[in-house]
Amino acid sequence: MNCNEARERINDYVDGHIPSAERAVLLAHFAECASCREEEMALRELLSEARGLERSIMPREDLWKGISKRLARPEEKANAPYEVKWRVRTVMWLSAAVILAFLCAAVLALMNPAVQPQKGAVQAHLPRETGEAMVACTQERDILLADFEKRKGELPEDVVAGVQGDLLVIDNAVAEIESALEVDPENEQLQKMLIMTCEKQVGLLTWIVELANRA
Amino acid sequence: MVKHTEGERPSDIRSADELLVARAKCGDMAAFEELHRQYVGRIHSLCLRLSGNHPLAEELTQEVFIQAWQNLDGYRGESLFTSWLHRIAVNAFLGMQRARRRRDSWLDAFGAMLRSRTPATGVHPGVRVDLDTAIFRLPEGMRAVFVLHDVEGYRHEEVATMLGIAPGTCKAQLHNARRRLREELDR
Repeated sequence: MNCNEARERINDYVDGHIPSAERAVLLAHFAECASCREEEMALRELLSEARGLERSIMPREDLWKGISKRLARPEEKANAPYEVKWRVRTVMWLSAAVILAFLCAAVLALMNPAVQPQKGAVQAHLPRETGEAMVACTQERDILLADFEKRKGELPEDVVAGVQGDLLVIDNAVAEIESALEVDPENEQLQKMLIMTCEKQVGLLTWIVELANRA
Repeated sequence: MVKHTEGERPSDIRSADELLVARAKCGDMAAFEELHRQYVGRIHSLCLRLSGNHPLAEELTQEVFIQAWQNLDGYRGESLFTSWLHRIAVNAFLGMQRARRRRDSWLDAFGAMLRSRTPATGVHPGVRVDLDTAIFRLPEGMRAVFVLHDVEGYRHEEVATMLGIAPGTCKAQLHNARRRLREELDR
């Protein structure tokens, strides 16, 4: 048996999964080969360390409070942990915002690359219906945002940071769309995008506030 | 509070658990809370090592106990209660993994910019830094096999069944995981 063959079998040997005849051949190789012996020792050390790892690690906070709260609601049928939901949702919001921002930037560049309009005055140029929808959406967003600001201390820091990052990205997307709309205020696609993006922000905030209520 | 002690025999633990389970099956939340207190550390350490992520591990742990409560009638006492919880934990982890895979395939179109937003893995004060940190850095498949086989002590066949993979794949993943861990720890 050479070193390559020995190393192919070393895991099975350490796990006790090789027949005795093969085991004898392997042991004979170890007797002659210091390097393979070292390999065997290193593997045994790793396994010994793995078996010695702490088998009971308490969570950083008492989870029972959250569990009992959820169990008190029989209608609760949680199929995925909120962290998973959070990731999926935030990534969806973020992706939607990125796509919108990209599309708007492209539209703007195609229409008039030299124009750099002022931000903020866009609602004045919007058709009445879109303007009203945006005012309603913005008001709802501001209420939820204030609620989120008040409640964020009750949520895990990384979740808060993730949501804040996503809100910023959506803000930037809104600004891009508004810029494009200043150039072409009658563009219905852009108007829809603007409202949709604002609604995404409302959706994200609604979810995070609900999460704070559950925490 | 029922407290399991060092000298306690498995049969004592089993009967104490069975008593608590029987009470919990009748809707006794205090009994279930006691089971939670007994096993939350074990389940959390498994979830932490499987997921490599603290917030996710805590959420998975919560999910395990919620599912355990909802499915208590399905526990017939054929295995230890802790083994039953372990199965639920592995399944909850696999469910999370499947959801993440769907998300990641969808996200591939948007590249690393979005993936970089995944919260970074930190190190829990209770975790032995060297090996646990190296375990956290393993790819998910290798990590799950290593944790279940070498840390938790399940056999290849059991690990393969739990993870829904072939025993040969399980073995190959384990050997790769060990090699990578040794390389990581030798640095």
